Amino acid sequence: MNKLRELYEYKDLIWTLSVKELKVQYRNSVLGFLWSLLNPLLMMLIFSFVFAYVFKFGIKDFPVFLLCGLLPWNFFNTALSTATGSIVGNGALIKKVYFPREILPLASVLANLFNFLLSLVVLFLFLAFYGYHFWVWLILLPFIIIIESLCVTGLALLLAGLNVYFRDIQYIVGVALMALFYATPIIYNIERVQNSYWMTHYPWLMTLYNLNPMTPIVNAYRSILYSVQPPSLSSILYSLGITAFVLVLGFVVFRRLEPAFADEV
Amino acid sequence: MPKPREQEATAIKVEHVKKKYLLYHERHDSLKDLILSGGRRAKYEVLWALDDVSYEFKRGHTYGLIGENGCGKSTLLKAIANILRPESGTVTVDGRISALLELGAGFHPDLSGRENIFLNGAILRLSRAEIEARFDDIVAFSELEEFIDMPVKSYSSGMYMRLAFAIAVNVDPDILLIDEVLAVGDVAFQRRCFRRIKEYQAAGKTIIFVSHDANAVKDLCDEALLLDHGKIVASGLPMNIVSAYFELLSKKEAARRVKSGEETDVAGDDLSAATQKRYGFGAATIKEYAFLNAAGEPVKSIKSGDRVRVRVKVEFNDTVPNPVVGMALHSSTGLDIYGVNNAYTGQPIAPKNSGDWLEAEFVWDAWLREGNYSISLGIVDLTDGTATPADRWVDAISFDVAAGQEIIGLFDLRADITVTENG
Ligand SMILES: Nc1ncnc2c1ncn2[C@@H]1O[C@H](COP(=O)(O)OP(=O)(O)OP(=O)(O)O)[C@@H](O)[C@H]1O
Ligand SMILES: [Mg+2]
Repeated sequence: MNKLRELYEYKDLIWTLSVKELKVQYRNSVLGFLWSLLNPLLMMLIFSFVFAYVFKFGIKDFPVFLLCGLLPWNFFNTALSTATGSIVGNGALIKKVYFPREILPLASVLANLFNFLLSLVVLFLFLAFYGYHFWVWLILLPFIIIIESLCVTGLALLLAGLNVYFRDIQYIVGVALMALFYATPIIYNIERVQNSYWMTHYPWLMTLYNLNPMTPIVNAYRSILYSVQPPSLSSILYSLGITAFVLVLGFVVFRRLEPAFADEV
Repeated sequence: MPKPREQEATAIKVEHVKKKYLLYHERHDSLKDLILSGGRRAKYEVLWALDDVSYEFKRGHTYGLIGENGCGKSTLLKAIANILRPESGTVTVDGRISALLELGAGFHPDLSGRENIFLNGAILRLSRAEIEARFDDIVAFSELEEFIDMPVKSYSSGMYMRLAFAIAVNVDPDILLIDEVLAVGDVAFQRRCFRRIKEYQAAGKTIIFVSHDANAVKDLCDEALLLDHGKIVASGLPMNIVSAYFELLSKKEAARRVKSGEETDVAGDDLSAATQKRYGFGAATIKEYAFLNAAGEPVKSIKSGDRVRVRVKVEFNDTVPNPVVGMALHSSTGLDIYGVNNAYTGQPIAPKNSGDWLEAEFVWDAWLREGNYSISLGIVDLTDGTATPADRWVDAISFDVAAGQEIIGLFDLRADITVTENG
């Protein structure tokens, strides 16, 4: 609780560092901020070409379907990759100045959250263009965004802290995120997995699959925006549970590791 | 600088702080190492960077932290600033701390000067509103108006430092920790730094200041601490602590020489020589000296403006072709206020041989401000332009100037003022 109050006192620094991250990210590129919008669009073009036209997945309005999962995933992906290295990468700062160390991964998450929110605007334009009534359940969207952000924060703290002691974490995270991308219903429908031979014959595989915190989250986004239905309560409760667990774990582990950061970075 | 009583509250209380570092012979920095070693602990030595340090820093005072490289000065500042957590012991801080362990911490080369002011300001714990309020002062202090919107990677290193320092001195904390950051920069820059520190002192801030510059410590600090191997080995008046430090250094130097089999007795290098109270090659000896008033009576205390006589008697034990006898006056902070000798005044003394003697008297008017002063005496041989000390006696005489007429500054230059005015 004290930690939370302290973090609140440092809100200006969190804000300034997130803004810095965004500024630095695009400072030397010609298109600047547009990249945070262009990047998912280009990814969408590639995936749509491969899966909708080459492999013929037969999903209605595949680009829209894809974007609804891809954008939340991108947030998860970029936030975790940048946050993991945030403590080690700011070693000089940690050795010389005191501030709650949580701020560094938090700022990474916040900067990427901002990018994500911006890209959602593009998604809304797309949805409108395809004639989706995405606003019907839009009121639920902030709730999902908050759940995802908190989940990302917990993981970010955990990984950033561990990475100080084992620099390999950074590389492991890169590979794990790639694997997780395919283990999350982003380019495919979850039913496809649920009905597959392996999953129906080996239920524990499905349990394993469901442990992925991004699965219910991506499904929730998709259900609100693409299916225009409220997400199932059970899946929301489930992801709330996971998020709470991850968040507490992240904070606790981070606090345990933090005292020696200045000596280890 | 004596401070009023009510400021004697404790600003920082350091109690039994211990900080150790494990110096690994092989490190387990990656999972591979950890797995290959099978969880076996790597070999290491324990180094106590802070070894049971306790001290109370009073509010409104300026403290100097001195000691050899690696004695734990930065570690102590970091423990106070909460940058690292000690193994045991506690640090209690009353007030907002700003730690200048590095100038421009967190500067990003791609961002402009303006953006970096906000970034660095936030890192130094200023709120956005506070930075906005101080922005103009910061830019003015740095004198970088034209460059403020350029990325700092295009700054020269001096400009970079100026900007960083301008932010740092505008932080306005209650407690300021400074770790050698003032050593950088040109003379004008340093002078401005010191002036700013004086302003902080006048405003009653607590300052802890690490420096290898003995004069800076003597000039700026009310109190100095000497650290050695993570322990506070001495604390007190800066003048005394600085000489204790030099003594420590020369002792270590001597120990090192003994170890490496070198000769130890020659007062060879300047540093160790200057730390001894009395040194020289012995070609002459200061036999007697006295500090007298105008009437020729020995005194310990005088009034500002009194005429004084410093009398020295020297005996020669060897041939001294060009004897020079001199005195130097120091303030209690170790500042060299004045020095004079017969070579300087153009009064050569005839060559001397063993058994000869001389007596010199320095007469001057002590237009000094109230305080404690010391006088060093010396007889040297100035042959071929090099001064070889025969007998130098550091701080031989000590005397007080009693309170009287107030003097602005260190001493009274007895200026005459002529005013021309209209009307
Ligand atoms: N991260 C670290 N890991 C291991 N040892 C360290 C670490 N940081 C400092 N030390 C050791 O702790 C001791 C004290 O270091 P510290 O930086 O406080 O010295 P210092 O008095 O500031 O020296 P200097 O005058 O060179 O600045 C040194 O012997 C140093 O080797
Ligand atoms: Mg140091």
